[in-house]
Amino acid sequence: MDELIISGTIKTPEIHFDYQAGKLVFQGRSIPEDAIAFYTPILDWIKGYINHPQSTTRIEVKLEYFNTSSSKCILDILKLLESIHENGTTITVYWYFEEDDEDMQEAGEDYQAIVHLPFKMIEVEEF
Amino acid sequence: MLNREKTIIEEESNLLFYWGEFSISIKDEILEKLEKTVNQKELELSKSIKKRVYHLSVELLLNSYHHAILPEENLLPENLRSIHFGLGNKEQTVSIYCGNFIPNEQIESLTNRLNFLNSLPLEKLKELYQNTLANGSYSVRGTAGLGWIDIIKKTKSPIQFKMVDYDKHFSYFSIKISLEK
Repeated sequence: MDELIISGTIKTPEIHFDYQAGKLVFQGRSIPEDAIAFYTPILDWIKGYINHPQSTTRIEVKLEYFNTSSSKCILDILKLLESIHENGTTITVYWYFEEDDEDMQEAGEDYQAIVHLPFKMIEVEEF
Repeated sequence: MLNREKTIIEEESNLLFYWGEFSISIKDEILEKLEKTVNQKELELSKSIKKRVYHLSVELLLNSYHHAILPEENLLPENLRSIHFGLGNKEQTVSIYCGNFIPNEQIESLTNRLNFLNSLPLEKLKELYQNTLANGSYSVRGTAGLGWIDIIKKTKSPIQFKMVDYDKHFSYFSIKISLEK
């Protein structure tokens, strides 16, 4: 599979999905008016990945903000990745949040409660 | 009545105020100005409050955009596709003001929805948010039905809102959110 690289903008996150390394990174802000339009190609790539995943998959989420439309799309991505976990390959979600950002910490905990994937919550001083 | 509402909001929005036509580019300009404003050192706002103000403003403005302004929806005639946005700072609180015209037939359902969400304790709001996220489906606007739950949850207290009469078909929906610093 090819890498998926999408540059970040003031409203959409940087996406870097490295198939060879099994590393999927979301970084920046996700506040588009049409979240479905932005996330559809990302979901399509993930659907391809889950058919041939690496033995270890690492998802890194380093989002400064995301709007509620994006939150549903992010959930859809994590739900797709659940199937890798169910099939026995190793997968972990690394959820980053800035210190004192209880909203982003809580968002990670919400996903942790909903999806059946191992989560690591990582507090950093600043993105 | 609407002019009076506008005057009050403008007086209270001592940091930032806009009242006029709305579009994606105007929304982006408002958010850019908002971010510069809250980052002013003299305001001494904590990082978490700055982020929360920004996040709530994004949700409010996108809500206005999706529900009142999207041309495909044709909910409002062209001359009523305007909004207001304001930011006010007092010693103990930061307040966000936002509003738009709505068809009168939407008043009852919106009022009931906001009153219901305002009545919930924080733990119940968190539970509702999680359940809606996990089980909800996309609305036609892709908004997932989470917007007001998220806004009230992050505000951590009931939000104030009013419906100001305009004419027999439309009213003006005006909201104020206050955050403790």
